[in-house]
Amino acid sequence: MSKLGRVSKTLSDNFDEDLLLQEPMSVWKRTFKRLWSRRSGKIGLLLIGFIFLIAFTAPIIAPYDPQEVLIGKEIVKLKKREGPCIHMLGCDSAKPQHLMGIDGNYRDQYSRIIYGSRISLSIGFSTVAFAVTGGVLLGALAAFFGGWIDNIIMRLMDVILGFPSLLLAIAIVAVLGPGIRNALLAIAIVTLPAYARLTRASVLTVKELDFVKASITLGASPTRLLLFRILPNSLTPVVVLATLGIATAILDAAGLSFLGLGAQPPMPEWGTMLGSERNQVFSAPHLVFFPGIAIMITVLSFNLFGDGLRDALDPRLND
Amino acid sequence: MLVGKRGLMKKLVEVINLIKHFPVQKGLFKRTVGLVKAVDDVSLEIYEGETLGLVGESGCGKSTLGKLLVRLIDPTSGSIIFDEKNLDSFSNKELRRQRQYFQMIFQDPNSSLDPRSTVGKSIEEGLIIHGIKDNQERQKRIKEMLNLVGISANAIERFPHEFSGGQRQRIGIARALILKPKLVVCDEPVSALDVSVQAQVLNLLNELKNELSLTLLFISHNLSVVENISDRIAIMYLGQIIEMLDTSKFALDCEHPYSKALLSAIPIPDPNVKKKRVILKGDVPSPINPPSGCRFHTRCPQAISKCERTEPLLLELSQHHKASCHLLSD
Amino acid sequence: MSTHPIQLEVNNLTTCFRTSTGNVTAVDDISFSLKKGETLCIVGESGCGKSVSALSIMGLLPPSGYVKSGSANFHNDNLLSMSSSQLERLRGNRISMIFQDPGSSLNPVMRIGDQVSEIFKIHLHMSKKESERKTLEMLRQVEIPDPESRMLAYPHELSGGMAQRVMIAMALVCSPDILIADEPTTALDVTIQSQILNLMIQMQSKTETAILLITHDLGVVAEMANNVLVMYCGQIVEYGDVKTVFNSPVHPYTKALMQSIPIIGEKTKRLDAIPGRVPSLNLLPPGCRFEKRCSEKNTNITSDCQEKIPPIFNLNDNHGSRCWLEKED
Repeated sequence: MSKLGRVSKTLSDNFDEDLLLQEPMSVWKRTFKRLWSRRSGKIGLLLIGFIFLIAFTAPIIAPYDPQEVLIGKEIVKLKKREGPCIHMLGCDSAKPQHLMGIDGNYRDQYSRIIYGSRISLSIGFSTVAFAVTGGVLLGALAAFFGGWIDNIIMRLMDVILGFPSLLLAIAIVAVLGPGIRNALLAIAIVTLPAYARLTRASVLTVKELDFVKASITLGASPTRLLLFRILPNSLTPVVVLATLGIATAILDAAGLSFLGLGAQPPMPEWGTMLGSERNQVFSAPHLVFFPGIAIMITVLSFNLFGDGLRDALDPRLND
Repeated sequence: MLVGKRGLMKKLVEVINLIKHFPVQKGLFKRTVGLVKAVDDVSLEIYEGETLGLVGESGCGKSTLGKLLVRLIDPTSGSIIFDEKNLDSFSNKELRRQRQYFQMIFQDPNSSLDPRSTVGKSIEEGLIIHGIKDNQERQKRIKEMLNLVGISANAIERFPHEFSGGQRQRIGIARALILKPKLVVCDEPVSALDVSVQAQVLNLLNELKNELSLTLLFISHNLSVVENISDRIAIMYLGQIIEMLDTSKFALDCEHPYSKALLSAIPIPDPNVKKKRVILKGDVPSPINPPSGCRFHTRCPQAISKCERTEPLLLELSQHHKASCHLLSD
Repeated sequence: MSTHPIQLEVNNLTTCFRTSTGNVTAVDDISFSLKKGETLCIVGESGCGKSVSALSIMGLLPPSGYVKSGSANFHNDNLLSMSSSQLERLRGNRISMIFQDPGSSLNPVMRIGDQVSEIFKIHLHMSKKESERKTLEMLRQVEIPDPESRMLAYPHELSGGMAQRVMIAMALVCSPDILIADEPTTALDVTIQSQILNLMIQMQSKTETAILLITHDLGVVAEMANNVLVMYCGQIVEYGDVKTVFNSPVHPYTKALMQSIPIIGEKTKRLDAIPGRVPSLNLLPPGCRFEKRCSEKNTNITSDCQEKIPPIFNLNDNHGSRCWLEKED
């Protein structure tokens, strides 16, 4: 193999120059560049960054403990469900500042909203992590092995998908008992089939591509094929769905908590906060408005990011 | 046995009565309503060191035959003997170890390389699977191979999308040849490339097969390309081989009406030549319901009544020339 | 010189595309004329701009493409300055186009009989009965077997060859002055290809339609063309009548291309491959675009080749080449 053929010599002369002009770029790097160049991706990413920042620095930026009941500890007597008092906007500086007002249990809502970001983010990520792991595993096995394995797994997914998701989640929580842990489990179970189906479809397509066949001819074992060739190339749609799924999970959790089935008071979960104050929409609108806005901005940011990511990963939208 | 330049040549591959039928499934319960007779009783030999060209139009089964030979799919019946071993009797694990001896080059440069792996990792895979544990040794062999196919060594860290179609095809060739296989099945390796790049890759394959003493099965629908690289040509129609002869004799001596029609259908890039064309009637029949008797009789300009009733056998007309046609065997 | 009237005259057509890395010129200053009853082939490899030229003329460019300059005169009317409604009246009527993949050009939810009769109704204002009768006639002319039952078929039920025949039928309903065929047989088997090419020649002799045939296959060009345009990187590099271009090609690219294809019956094992590859359209050199791969470089004029784009030198009545080697001192 040490002889250099005539053909090879002419082929390699001069014509790889344009290769050397650019940095080698992996798919991830290229994806990030494309994501950043789109407005939705950029805004989504920045917003998510902002929310994460708030969550991390909560102990520093929150003026009060979120569970602390303030009655009897303040100089000026607090009114229950008092509206926001912002010194910069003209509120009497003798009164203590509560940027988002006081809730029905004399707690500072601003601090609760801030700490709520931690809960929402962890709900979003943990449910999606659970659902994705389970869903991808089941979907990949179904697609890879086919036959009766495929049938059993997919029919099981169909059963779960047959129920309206929120109702099924409520039913699961009703059986297991209210609380944030059970709410997470319920949401994860209810969202898992979507990932299984998506992974299965993706794997079925990727399985037929030539480079997978090439690996088979090279002698790759089924495990190697699945882990190194098939899965890495099947996960793109799953990543996009997962990002959007975080938004859905936060919304679902808020929904369950709103109904009293998820996070229980005094946890500062935004849905719970909305739920406990829903009868006060007109007398204390700030207690409904701020949690609602917080949910909306968080969900919006993940949706924007997911949209941007989907466009950035779409191979048809070429540079 | 084929008498080659160096005397009697050894059979590397022997295909005996190979059949591959794909079921057509319809309905909720996936009932089998028909069979696509992709490869329907094919027997042939490939001798060590030769290049056998396999030509045919869409639906003739040539790609399926190629995949059967590298065992990407299993036959419905019949056997394939590779290097005097019948691989049907091997366990899955043993089969995987044998795979280094028969490799494939794929048609589509856009899907034959893993887009998420670097070029180096794609080429390296075979070496890792077959136990070359030393990374330095692997890198050395990768560099040698890239050199041989005319790709510069800094391609190792790059990704497939950074290369042109012709370059990706050459990377695919490097991946297949790094294991030093004996048989390489080339499934339409230049069909998806631009005309000027086809010549580069063809020349490369021609040179590599001589340098590395490879045996090739070259599959293509393009007769001109097949004629350039092959020692012998086999022509397939609807799952069967209808003619087989030496390349040097093909253009002048082919006998089967389909081969002649194929030959005359190729547009010659010379406006001075006004060819007498054999224009076939109608479309290629479906491999689900091939015609009775000789499969070609529905389009054959020379069909006689016997052709509709009886299937002709692949018979030897002269040395190294076989054809299946009633008109020729009388 | 033919005395046939000119059906289409394209002058200095330049088409560009907007990309994320700036504007790219896909067609660079091409000019040609198409006469009644003749076939002009535009031949070149992928990316040379041949398809884009046709799309530009027909007003079928994608949103990111635009005609930067030039004209395309059809009977003294510039197609490029027409409104979309004016173009719609011409398309399918006076100027027809068929594409490479008939599967994606036919409406998948309409029976093919209806698709053909629609043209009779819209452009020729025929009644339903009359258009169905004419449709049957047309399908017979393009040699579709058993046309009465085939009329009721949907496109996915047809083979590639049959679908392309339907496309040709649809294209020729109004006996157009011009038929633009963009790689019409590339996706077909070679025996079907010869049927379709034969059909096109026969139909052309009946209707005297001028055909603009776009292909990468030199064999098809030799079969079908009266005149040839060779394109490379968006530019015309050689033009002429088919015998001249094939028998005595002048431009180094044309020569190299002809020597690099395997020809049946010739036993040369080693093909004269053109080294290197086509430059990408956003990294074009300032001078001749083929210079890097050219094997006929002349040391006297190498700097010209590298620095200035050669104009087309007219060698005689109907033969030209874009190459500095043709410059007379």
